[in-house]
Amino acid sequence: MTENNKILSVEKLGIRRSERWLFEDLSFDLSAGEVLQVVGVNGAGKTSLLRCLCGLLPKAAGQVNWGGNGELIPLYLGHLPAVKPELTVFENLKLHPIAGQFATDEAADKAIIEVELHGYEDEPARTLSAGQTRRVGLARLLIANTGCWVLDEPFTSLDVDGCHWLEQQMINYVEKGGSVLLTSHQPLTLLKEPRLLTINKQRQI
Amino acid sequence: MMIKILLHRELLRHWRSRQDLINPLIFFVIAVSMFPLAVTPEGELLEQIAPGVIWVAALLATMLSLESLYRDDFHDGTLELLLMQSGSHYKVVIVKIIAHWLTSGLPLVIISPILAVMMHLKGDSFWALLSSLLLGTPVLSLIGSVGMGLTVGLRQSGVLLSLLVLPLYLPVLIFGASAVTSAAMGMEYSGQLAYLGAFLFASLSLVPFASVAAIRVSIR
Repeated sequence: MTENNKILSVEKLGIRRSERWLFEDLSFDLSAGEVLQVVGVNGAGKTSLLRCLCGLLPKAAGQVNWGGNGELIPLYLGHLPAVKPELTVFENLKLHPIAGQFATDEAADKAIIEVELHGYEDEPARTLSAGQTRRVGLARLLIANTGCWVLDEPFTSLDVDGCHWLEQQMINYVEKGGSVLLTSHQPLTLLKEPRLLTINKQRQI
Repeated sequence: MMIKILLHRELLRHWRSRQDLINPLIFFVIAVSMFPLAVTPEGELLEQIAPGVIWVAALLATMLSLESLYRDDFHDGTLELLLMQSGSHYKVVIVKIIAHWLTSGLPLVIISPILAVMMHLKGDSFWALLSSLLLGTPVLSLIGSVGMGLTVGLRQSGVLLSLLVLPLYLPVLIFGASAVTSAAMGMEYSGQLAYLGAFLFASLSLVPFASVAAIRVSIR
């Protein structure tokens, strides 16, 4: 039962939006070095599931257990970019907590170069395009020192190169033992096929 | 360490959108300075109504500034990022309230002496106004954070926010204004200040829990 490499275990999770159950009795595990892609039709509750796992949405039933003893803080990137328009790109990375920690100057600089926003460090984030804003959010992936990424539609408003770049980052991360939980409508091209978790209203596989 | 960086973030954010900070302050000054023009420039009457006028204006100015507490952060997603990634909801909320008071309550306190002079408050009542505002405005920020937390997800929340928050503001208003009135009549006003202090510590100990619970309801 208590395996060391288990990042997340979910037992009999149920989420309710007002009177309507999105799903009930959802159980799955996520181990280190694994990619789990949540699929389902629009409105099936993919986003709600991720938000619930991250503690942003109350669960109606069941157990969610992070890192065995509940101490792991996953990095969550949601639909909203979570980039403050008034702050510069550098400040956005430096002054927001990332998985329970704050980035060092070097880590933030390195991440900015890696996401090809070099030269924009001191620009207010409101001057960036949607794709560039998205990249600021993705730069957090490079800074985060945690065992799990939780990504909600991470490929939205990324160009083709950006998508390839993100897939490459996932491959590198998984090789280092990190695990990724994501929702995406497009198939991923990773080294190993991601495990699929299908959410249906009635039953789960 | 975490609190220091979060506070830095809040203050920087408020500084970059200074316009939102100046508006309540201008409202405060204008609202109070209307009274000598509209009622009478006579010193004696002004001194009588001054405590109430200044306190009501300070209260409404604080209500105006509450929006800046969570609204922007809620809409661009940084509020959920802060709550989720910091690992402590309470730290985030407390830092936000402190930053709100520093950027909206404290400026009101600092500018109030000018208005006190304009309203012919002298001597003891001047100091009573300053100390009652100093004790009272943090309570306004604290209570306001609960109301704002509850209504941040709603589109048209202005009226609802006032309905939620104003009844809780009334004790602060009553004791704050009464401290100044007592002082103007040459009476002891430490009792009212003690009440304001009690409100401050009571809300300081209870509000973080209520505020976190309120935000959790709004973020869904």
